Amino acid sequence: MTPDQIEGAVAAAMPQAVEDLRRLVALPSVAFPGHPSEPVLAAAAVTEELLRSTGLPHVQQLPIEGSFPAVYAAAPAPPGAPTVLLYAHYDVQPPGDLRLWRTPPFEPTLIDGRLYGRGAADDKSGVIAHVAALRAFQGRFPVGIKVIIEGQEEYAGERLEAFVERNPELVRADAIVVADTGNARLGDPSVTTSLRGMAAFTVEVRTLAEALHSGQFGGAAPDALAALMRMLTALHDEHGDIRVPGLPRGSFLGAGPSEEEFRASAGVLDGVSLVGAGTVADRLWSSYAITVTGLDVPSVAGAVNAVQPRARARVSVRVPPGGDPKTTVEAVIDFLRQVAPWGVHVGVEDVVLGSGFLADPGGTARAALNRAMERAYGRAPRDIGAGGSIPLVSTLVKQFPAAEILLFGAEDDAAAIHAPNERLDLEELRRTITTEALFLQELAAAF
Amino acid sequence: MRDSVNDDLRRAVREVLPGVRADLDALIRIPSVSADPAAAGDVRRCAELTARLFLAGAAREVEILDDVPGGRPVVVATCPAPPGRPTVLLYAHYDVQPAGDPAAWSGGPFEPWESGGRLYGRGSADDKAGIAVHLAALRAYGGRPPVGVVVIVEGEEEIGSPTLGAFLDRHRARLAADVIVLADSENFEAGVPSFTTTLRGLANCVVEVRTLAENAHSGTYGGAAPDALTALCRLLATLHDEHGHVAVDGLVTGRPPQADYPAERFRAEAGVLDGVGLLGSGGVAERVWAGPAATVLAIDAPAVPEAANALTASARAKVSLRVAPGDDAVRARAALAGHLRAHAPWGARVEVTEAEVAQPYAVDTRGPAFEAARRAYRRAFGGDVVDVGGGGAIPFVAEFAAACPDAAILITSPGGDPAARAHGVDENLHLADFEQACLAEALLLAELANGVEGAGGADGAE
Repeated sequence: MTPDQIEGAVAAAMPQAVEDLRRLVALPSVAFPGHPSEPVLAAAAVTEELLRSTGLPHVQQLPIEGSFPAVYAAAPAPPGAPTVLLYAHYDVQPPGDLRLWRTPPFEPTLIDGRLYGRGAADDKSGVIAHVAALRAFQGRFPVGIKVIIEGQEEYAGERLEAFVERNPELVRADAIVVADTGNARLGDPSVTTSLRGMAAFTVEVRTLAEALHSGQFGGAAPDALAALMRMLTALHDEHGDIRVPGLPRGSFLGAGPSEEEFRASAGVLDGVSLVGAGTVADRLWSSYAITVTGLDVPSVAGAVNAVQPRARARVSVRVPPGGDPKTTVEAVIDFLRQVAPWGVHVGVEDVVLGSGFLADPGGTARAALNRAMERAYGRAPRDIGAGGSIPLVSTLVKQFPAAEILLFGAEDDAAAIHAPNERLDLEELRRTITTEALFLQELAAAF
Repeated sequence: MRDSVNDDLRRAVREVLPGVRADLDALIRIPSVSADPAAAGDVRRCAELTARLFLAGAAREVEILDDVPGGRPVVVATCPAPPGRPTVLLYAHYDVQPAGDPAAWSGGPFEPWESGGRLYGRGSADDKAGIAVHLAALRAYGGRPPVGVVVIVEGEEEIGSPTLGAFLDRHRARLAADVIVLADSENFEAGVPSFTTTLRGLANCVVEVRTLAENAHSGTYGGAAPDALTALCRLLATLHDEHGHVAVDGLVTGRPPQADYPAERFRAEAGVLDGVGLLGSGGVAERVWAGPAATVLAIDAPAVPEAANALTASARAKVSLRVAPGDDAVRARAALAGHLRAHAPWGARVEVTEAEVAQPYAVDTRGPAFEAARRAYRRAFGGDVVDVGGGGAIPFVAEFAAACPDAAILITSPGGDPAARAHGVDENLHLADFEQACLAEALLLAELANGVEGAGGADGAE
């Protein structure tokens, strides 16, 4: 097919693609404990049906032990042509506080060219990008195709990772497209070349056998919560820079958002300053970040006048691509033990780790992607980082060191992923589909 | 006091004690738990028994007053003052804490039993012993003490005495007294008579910190976007310095009562884990009775099992300040609020709501009533009284101080000691100290008969 034909086919099939996306977004496929599994399984079934509609000869659901099924599809490579693995996920984040949504999260609603709903961008747009790009070829694919659509990406469990490690042949490929990121700005073509890794752990402080009356004992009794506050506070200096030794600030080789753009997209309140030093891209994509994400203490409504005998915090650490999550988390835990005041007892549990990703300098596949994006967007892409993690990516890097991994997608910076009012720009979706279809054609020609 | 009076009283108290002890057992058998709505009948039965016991040789006139809406019955017993003699108000409460898990007790919590010189059962020390001490002191005089006496036994102390103020206000005229004896504390050590002379006040605030319009992905935004929970932790950490001293400016530290509170004893009573140090510096008495204390009571944040990888847009905490005797709790609360507003990092938006406040209390222990009391208790116990502090506010003390601003207030123990486990499992009364307390109170009435005009009063209370 010529590029013109591809573009035309994608444009003509957009109404169907949007219709398919609406079907997926209407399913609350939250694969978290405590949420019903039926909608997750329903989303797997719809994904399977959509992949069948592309003309891929082999489509099936793969049971993943301890998790939800992955949907898998494949078509053999034409002689001499490379094979491309396409990745996305059909599960979504929980919607959070429903009062903050302008439209119901699982009733996809089109407003001013954007489709609102949980998962519209992250990552049901990725599922649709693959489906619609493949449909453009009407069953005559220029390269070998493998598709794996995960069912539990948002809830860390690493079940699919273990499955892939045991079944490498299913996903072996020359190039891998991960459609679960987006452009730095709408219409500004970007390839994500670095992902931060992550580590998280729970720290517990104990000081007393049990809770004490704060009047009778307060002032001398060692307060576990006060000790924990001191320890957590020691992690940053007054500017919000990390004080843990061995976690240096990095710099990102590429352009990132300005402070003003970042403030707007993060929703930083007027008068509140940003934390850390360096460019925004340095801080977000190439440096460590430590966040207290949970605390086990009494709630304000249930407060009693008591000194706490123990207190727990969940601490999340983002690790730049060059860093090792394991040594990082050890450094943070050692530091917390060092700064623990008053001889308090410190325990650590529930450590989870996920590696980051740093793309190799571009090869054949990246060059093909650049040409595809240049045509779809009218200009060549730039490299950006992403602050978050995609756990499967590091597994794929380890298993297929020769494969080129390409991260792009329709989740632009205004898509509000993981937040209320998540939305997808449908024109961005069309350009993403066009890019992916053109890429497959370009790669076949270049190989 | 003439030795013959002393000896006569000792004999008289000894004679009434067996009956008083049986009455105390009967009181313990009624589970008068004020916090339990289902126990309302037992609460009333206990008031009725208390009234009958005072009519039995302790007082001339006894009434059950139940005339404050929402209140529980109050027993009022009176002995009119002989001409020219002062009037003494004796306080106790007949309600008790819930027993908790009865299986944890060594015997039935409402079936009193005696073992090793102690009487076990819920309310044995807190505060049915207080009723018994008043009974013994009055019966020793055959119900005709040498001073005027008004006994008030309330039934809602364990739920914070919510209507006591209204009751005292309503009956102000008949409750007027020169000296008030609140028999509801503990001796600092077994055999050591103790008066509680200071209480700390309370000043609470709720603080909310906001940094973002809404929660944001911690991977996408973490490292540059300010997180409200991290900011709140930083703010709360400024409440103490590295030694655990309260770091809020403008708070007063009072002078502690004289009792020595050994650190090792405090560690054991508080259950401090091995190797963990105490907060602050100086003597324990100075820290828990005379100094301010800041405690973070609660934080509204995601619980650890529900922690998502997200930056928090807003976070809230409740902070409690114990206010030293001699300080003003309202001013201290303003100081705490000012500190919280001034110390948030990164320009985070801070909103402080001022919450509960209770004034600290310090007794002026120099008046003639205290001198009389020290003599009476020394004579009964054979050793000097020690003054101790209380770390927390006691609502009824503030109510009496407000209702009778000119009266001397004595906070005494009816015999409980540090092993009494008031509110705990196997609550018990040290029987030897109980008997000394009965004698001491009888001696006190004789001492006060000598006159205590301008007896003294509260210092620094409101």
